[in-house]
Amino acid sequence: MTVVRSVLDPTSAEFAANREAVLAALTELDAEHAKALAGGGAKAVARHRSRGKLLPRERIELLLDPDSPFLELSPLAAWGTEFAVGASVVTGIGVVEDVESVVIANDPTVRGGASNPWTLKKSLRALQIARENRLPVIQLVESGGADLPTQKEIFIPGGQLFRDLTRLSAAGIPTIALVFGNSTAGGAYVPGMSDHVVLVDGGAKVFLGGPPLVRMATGEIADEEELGGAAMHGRVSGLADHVASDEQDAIRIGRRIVARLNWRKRGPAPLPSLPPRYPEEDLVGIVGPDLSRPFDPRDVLARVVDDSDVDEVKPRYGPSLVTAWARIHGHPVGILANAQGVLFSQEAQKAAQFIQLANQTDTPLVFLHNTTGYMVGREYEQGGIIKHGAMMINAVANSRVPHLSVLLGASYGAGHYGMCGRAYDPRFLFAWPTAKSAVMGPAQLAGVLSIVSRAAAEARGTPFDEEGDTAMRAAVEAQIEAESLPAFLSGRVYDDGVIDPRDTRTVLGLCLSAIANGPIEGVGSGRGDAGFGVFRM
Amino acid sequence: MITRVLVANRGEIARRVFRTCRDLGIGTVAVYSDADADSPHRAEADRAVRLPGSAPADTYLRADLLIAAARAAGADAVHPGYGFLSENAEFAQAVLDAGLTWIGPPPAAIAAMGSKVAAKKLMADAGVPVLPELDPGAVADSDLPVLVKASAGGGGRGMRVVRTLAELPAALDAARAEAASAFGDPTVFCEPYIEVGRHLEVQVLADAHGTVWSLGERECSLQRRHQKIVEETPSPMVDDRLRGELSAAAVAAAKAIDYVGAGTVEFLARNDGSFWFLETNTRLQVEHPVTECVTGLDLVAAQLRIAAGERLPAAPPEPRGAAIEVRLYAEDPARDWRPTGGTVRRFAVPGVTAEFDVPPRPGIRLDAGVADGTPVGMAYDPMLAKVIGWAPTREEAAARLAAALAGARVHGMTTNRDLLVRTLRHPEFLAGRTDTAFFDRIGLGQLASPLAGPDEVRLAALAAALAGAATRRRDARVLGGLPSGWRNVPSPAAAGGVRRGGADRRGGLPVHP
Amino acid sequence: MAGRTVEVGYRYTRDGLLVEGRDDVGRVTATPEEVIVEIGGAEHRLRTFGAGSPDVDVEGDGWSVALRALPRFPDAAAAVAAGSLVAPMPGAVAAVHVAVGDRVQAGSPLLVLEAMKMQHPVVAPGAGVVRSLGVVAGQQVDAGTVLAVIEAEGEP
Repeated sequence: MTVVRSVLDPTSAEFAANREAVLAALTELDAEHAKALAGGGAKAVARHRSRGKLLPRERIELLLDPDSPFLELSPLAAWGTEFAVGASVVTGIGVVEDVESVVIANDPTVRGGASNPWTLKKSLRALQIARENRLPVIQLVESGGADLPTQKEIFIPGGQLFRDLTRLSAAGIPTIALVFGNSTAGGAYVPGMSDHVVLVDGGAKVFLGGPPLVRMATGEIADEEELGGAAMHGRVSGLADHVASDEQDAIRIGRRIVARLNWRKRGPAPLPSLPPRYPEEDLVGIVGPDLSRPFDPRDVLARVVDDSDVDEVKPRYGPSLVTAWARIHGHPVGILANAQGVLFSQEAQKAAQFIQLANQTDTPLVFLHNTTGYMVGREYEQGGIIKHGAMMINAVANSRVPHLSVLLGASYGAGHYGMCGRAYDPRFLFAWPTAKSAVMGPAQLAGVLSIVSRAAAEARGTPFDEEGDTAMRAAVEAQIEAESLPAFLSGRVYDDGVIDPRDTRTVLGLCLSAIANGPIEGVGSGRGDAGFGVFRM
Repeated sequence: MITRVLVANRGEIARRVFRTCRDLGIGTVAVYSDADADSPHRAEADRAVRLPGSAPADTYLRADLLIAAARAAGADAVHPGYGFLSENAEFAQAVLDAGLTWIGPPPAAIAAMGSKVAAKKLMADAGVPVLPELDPGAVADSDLPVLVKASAGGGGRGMRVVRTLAELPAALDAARAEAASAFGDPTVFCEPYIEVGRHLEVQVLADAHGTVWSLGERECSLQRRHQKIVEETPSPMVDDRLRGELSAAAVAAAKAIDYVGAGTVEFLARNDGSFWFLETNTRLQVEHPVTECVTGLDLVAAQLRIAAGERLPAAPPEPRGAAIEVRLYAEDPARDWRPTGGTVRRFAVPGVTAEFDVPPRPGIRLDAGVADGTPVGMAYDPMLAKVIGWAPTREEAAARLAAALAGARVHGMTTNRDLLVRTLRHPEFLAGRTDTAFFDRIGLGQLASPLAGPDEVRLAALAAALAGAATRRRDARVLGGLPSGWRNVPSPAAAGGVRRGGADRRGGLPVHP
Repeated sequence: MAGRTVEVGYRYTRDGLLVEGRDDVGRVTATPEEVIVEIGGAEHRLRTFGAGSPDVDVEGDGWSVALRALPRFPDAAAAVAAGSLVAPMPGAVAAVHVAVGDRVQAGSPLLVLEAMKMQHPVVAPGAGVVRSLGVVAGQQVDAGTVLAVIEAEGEP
């Protein structure tokens, strides 16, 4: 074994400053999470409770195995929009009867659990995670349907929800719907498309059209129970497989359904693991607020991987990118971590080769981002930086092993792509609270705009408005800064959540275990033929 | 020459006799009823014979089955233990008639003592003080209160205190029924009931050659339902003069009936030192271990040797220190001593230095009838074990025994353990004021209250919850290595009222009913 | 103390164990067999037996407590027991064995339904009182017709 040496000095002033900045960012993050936890506010929560109903997170807690971990996904969805933080739905990965499952729970305290465009995006992301990682889906349904003012944003793409559900089923991934309340109109297809359906007696209402709509459409007068009550669906329509006597009973039945899925993970079981030799607590002191100051990712690895045991590949070649083998909670991984921010030709080629090696051995890859992008300048362009960057992007894009990305610091430009940004379909992507992602740094972007407009003014022969330029630069810088922040990106569901750096090992371990529900196969794995050998670059 | 002993008994006394037999190189045979199929005494014996059924009358009281069992298993001697047929002269005779050795006094001695009515006359004639006997049919108001006793009885079975004449007929009926069921003989008698007394008894050991030893007294005043639960030697109330008188009376009693073997002469005493003969128990007593501890003798070995015709030395050994025995019962003192029962999940007593044997130096002796997993039913006496503390002084013995009991692991049922600990630690007990009214005087409210108070219960519930979480993490098939109950977005712990089940990581843990 | 319910709310956090309703709990080490809890600066070592199962015994320093974990979910059998009995298929009521107000035990025959030449006994799902009878002997019933309503005993 090779214990990585960490050079971090937790007694330094820099560490203390970093720590202070990260803890401040975490406090802000907590405040945003608290908004999601508050749901529709105290009054709506009290009204919901007064009906003897459980809150979505209470339903989830009761569904999960006691004391098991739960990773909530996209908790900041809809942040910075007109809709409530959390997007009126809770999604996550949890353990039910020893089966890792994707849980999707409507929050009926937020506008009756109505779906807005962010609810849809967050739910579809959860279903994508279920499909890619072969995780059973358990939906805890209580939603008033589409948020009507935004129906135009939901109606057309919303059909994907039901399509994905049945495609999951077709792919051998069980889908379970526990219906606690309204699940009407389009929402009726959630239980409709699920493999297992439990309706709560006296609570669940599942119909295409409610009494007013039926009366409008056909003149028939029928009550809600006749149209969609649990007792009716249990005895008459057969839509319900189980009629639960109350919410707790529904959750109990849901757990029994999972227990009978005969679920087997198709990926490798984890090996025994030891905790890192360095304290996780230090992870808040590594990355500072000033992303222009690089840090050594080995300090992170020493606090994230099993036993701090890391075997680097090509440590002296392309030293601005660390490529290494390690394990996290017993799962073997290949790690690509930016060391000096900039990706040069050597680093790009090193990455491309390493990604091929991981595919050869069916080893998942973890990308730890802190990059300002590929190097620019005459020397580098002439040295073929585009070709070499393209190799890395080619390798990342066509790699078949699971990828996980964590934005530790900067993730700018094509470097974001090369390090498996969201568009490259990592199985999971998380950000530390002080990370930033954009096409380039805010100051650089504003500067570029300024140079371009100055050149345009010169070309037109008009005088350049220096004052206006300064104001423009400040405004652009502020806008890009805001749009680079993790909460902003998380709000648009461009990542799966902003995490406490000290939770990195736990989050990655949970994701790697979830991934192992499906087979882990690199390019050519299974047929034993990747087409070419690993290219030495 | 005895080569294989059948113990016509069950539980701890069977195990006790087996221990000595093993030490002497003698084979062992157990008998067991269906209710005792999982009892340690069956598993421990070299050979075992089933007695079909569970009721005593179908099993341990069936002389014919017991003798057939002895034959079937190749036993050449029968030890009766205590209770059941241990004081049944006909059984003793039947054993002898079957050509087997009877480990006990001659049937005639048993018969002489068997009728308590006759025994008292015999003792009065031998000059031993006795309480007047009252004809159940002629009890008058002035005689009250009286004690109704089974003539053939022992161990409190068939005993009733009667304080008004109106209660008498019912008490007699109940006592007769109980006596018939327990001893196969419905005869009962009455005697004056001494409200505040001391129960003293003298262990005697007599060989077949005329030597009779007194091994000193035991005090067994702490009783519930006339059944002893704390027994000790020497008695804190007995001085050398009284000890001499008691011993002389006991030896006279034994000699009067040509007693052979181990026996006990019971007396009722007042704090002023006056005493009366109660009865002679022609068998090993439950509480014999305290005498063994202080004398260093193995009374069962002595029984076996006497049965084989050996002679006792001229004088008994000098006693050393003080020994206290408590009987651990599956019963709830706070609920009128109601038997509880169930299955013993775990049983262990810390600091035990000997089992069924005299500890090599002062310490804790354990004579247990149960082990992990033993079912305790309602068919028999709910005694789980006897725990004995032996130390140079009575105070030390009490402290040591209390600590051993407090730390004892008795899981699966409510027991009288906490009462025993509180008794052993009570100033009145430590001061030697251990008369028969002890429990009434101190009050069960105080003595039977659990050793674990509200703070301990809360702490225990927390520990149970945390250990449960640790167990679930250990046993988890996925993600067991992740932090317990980890959340990236923790819900507020106090998520309002938690109803049935509630949010996770809350366990309702009610104290065992 | 017997029969009393003690609720425990706990959560492990980065900063240690949080226990609902008490702030004196310090460092904690918990295994299935042993829990060491620091309370008010003093360590308490507790042995636990049967942790994770319904019956848990906890031993402290010279005391022990027997606990039983409350079930996480309501009893499924009890939930099924209550309520109305409906005709499982169309048929004729061949016999009615009970009257309104009758006390019935689980399994007590209530009535007999004849359908497709088969006699189907309808029995009480649990102990209770017959609150209403929806049919009389000889009556034709459709599937789903409420035959009787039994009010379960000891309903909370």
